[in-house]
Amino acid sequence: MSVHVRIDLDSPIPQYEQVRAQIAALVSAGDLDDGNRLPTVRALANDLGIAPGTIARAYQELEAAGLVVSRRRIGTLVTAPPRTLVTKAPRDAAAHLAALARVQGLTDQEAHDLLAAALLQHGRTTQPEVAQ
Amino acid sequence: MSAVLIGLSLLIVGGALGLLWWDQRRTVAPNDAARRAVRHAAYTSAVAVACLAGGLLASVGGQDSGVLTGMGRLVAVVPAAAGALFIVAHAIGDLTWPGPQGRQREADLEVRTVSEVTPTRLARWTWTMGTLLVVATVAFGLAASGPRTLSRVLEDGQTYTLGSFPGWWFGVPVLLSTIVVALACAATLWIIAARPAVTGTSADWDRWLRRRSARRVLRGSQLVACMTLAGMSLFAGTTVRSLGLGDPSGYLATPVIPGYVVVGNIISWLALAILAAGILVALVPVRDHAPDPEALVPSAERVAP
Repeated sequence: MSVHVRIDLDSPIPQYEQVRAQIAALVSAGDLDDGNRLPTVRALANDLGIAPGTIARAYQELEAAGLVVSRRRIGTLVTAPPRTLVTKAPRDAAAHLAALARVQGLTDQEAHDLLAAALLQHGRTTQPEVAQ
Repeated sequence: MSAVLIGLSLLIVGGALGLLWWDQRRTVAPNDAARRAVRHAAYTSAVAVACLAGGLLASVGGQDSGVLTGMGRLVAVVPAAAGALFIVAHAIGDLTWPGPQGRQREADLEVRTVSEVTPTRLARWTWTMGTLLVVATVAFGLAASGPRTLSRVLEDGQTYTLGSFPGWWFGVPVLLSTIVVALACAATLWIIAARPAVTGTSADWDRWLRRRSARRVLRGSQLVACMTLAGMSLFAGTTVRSLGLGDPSGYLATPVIPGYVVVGNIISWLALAILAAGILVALVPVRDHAPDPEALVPSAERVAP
């Protein structure tokens, strides 16, 4: 099974963020396993027709999030987070949301917006107040 | 003689360009981007072949007109220089490879390595010929009695020396040019592996096109290695044979040594065999057709939303 990333040059989302978000989603979904190698920065930049620095930044963000690790002479390797019981409930809920969005005929963007709105609302109500 | 050589060279170049044209015409391209890529690859190879042939023909013409007389070192590195031009033309073609068009673009997250896009047997043959060239050059350099002479000790303690022999005078520039060609070849193969994928084609088709580019680079590289090795060996074989046959003027008492003559003949025949093998490997088509467009639709793929 081949795994792809897509970028939309007309999207207001920065290109590095588009790449980062998709790879992060593929890691979370298990399509990219622990130890999988990602293409080199230059190869992926060539394939997408964008600057190598954009891909390098996406890889840096993924590394900072602990999703990939860069090793000299080997390249960039996926370090998928273990699927523990702690993350099982949110995963199931996300899968449920995705299924419902498909049934209701929502676009991916609308589903994303719904989740973003829920996160925003949840953050407002439960986020502890910052100590003065 | 030179007219025959130039005619033969033009025939070979014409044959190579004809093969390129025929290869491009028969290629099954699934879409416009693929057709554009195939055309780009064909133009690149045509320019590269012209560079290679131009370099070699200039050498033949230079020797015939006397311009290169007494410039043996330059003649020795002409195949490598022509080969370097050939490889650089390919590298420029791959660096200017048509990139993806459109506002929405897609890329496969699979890793492409040089070994995946390089025909294994041809790569082994090319590196073997390169290694043989280095080994032969070092061996000739060690066997030589001077920078470009070979000697044999006679019974009365005198030495019978003959030149020209491919000693270090020729060996050093040949070694340096061989290293340059090898590095250029390796770098170009890396560029081929990293160049943009052809939009709208399967990974198999894209890999096939890369493999074809890599094959062309390796074919040219092995040809110049074989030509240089054959030239050096023929040069050495002739000198060893002459040394074994002794002084034709009779000034020195030099009995014929059959061993030298046999070794000289073997080296000369090996040189011709290597040259023939290099030309054959460069020109004979291989059975590696483009994947069927009907099977180009990926069986399964995942794209993150």
